[in-house]
Amino acid sequence: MRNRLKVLRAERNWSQADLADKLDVSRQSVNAIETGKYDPSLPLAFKIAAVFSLPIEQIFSADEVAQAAE
Amino acid sequence: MSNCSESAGKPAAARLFRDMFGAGMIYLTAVLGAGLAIKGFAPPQWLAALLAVAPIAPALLMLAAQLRYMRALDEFQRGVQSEAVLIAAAVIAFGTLAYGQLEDMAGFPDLSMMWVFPAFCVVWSAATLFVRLRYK
Repeated sequence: MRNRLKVLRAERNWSQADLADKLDVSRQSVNAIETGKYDPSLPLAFKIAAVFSLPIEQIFSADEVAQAAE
Repeated sequence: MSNCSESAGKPAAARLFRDMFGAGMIYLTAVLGAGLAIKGFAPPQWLAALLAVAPIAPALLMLAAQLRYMRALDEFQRGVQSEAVLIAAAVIAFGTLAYGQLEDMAGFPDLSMMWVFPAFCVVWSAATLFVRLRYK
């Protein structure tokens, strides 16, 4: 799965620690999600969407969908 | 024992260390006390057996501390710890099996099973570091 977490975070000038605080997870968790090494659960993905005030599909996309769009 | 990270994990790790240290001290005191009582008073076997297993009660406090720690972690950290526990369990299971065969077949010295739990804790910590490297 791909995500735009890093870009969205940078747009808001948030550090990984800032986002981690908002999501109530560790900074390592945010880093692992950003780098695509860990796919969050559905509840956490919805929480991320709520923090960025965006629909979930504007943050996350399946690899095949992202490749097709490129 | 297993370390953790910032945010959700740091207070949990600090509490784990505190709880494990406290329970470990009680456990060591109980082991020493039971050992001294058994040697000093030469109680009947049923009482010696009771004294010998009595330190397991404080050892269970360590298990409770570990469970509390796991529940306090976020989903990613819990995944890391679960994988580390699985690796540690496999290493200890196959390690003890292999050493048992060395004892039986190759004349290696007998080791007390008391070392299994401390060895598990050490391997768990090492496995945690190893698993974390994959997510760096």
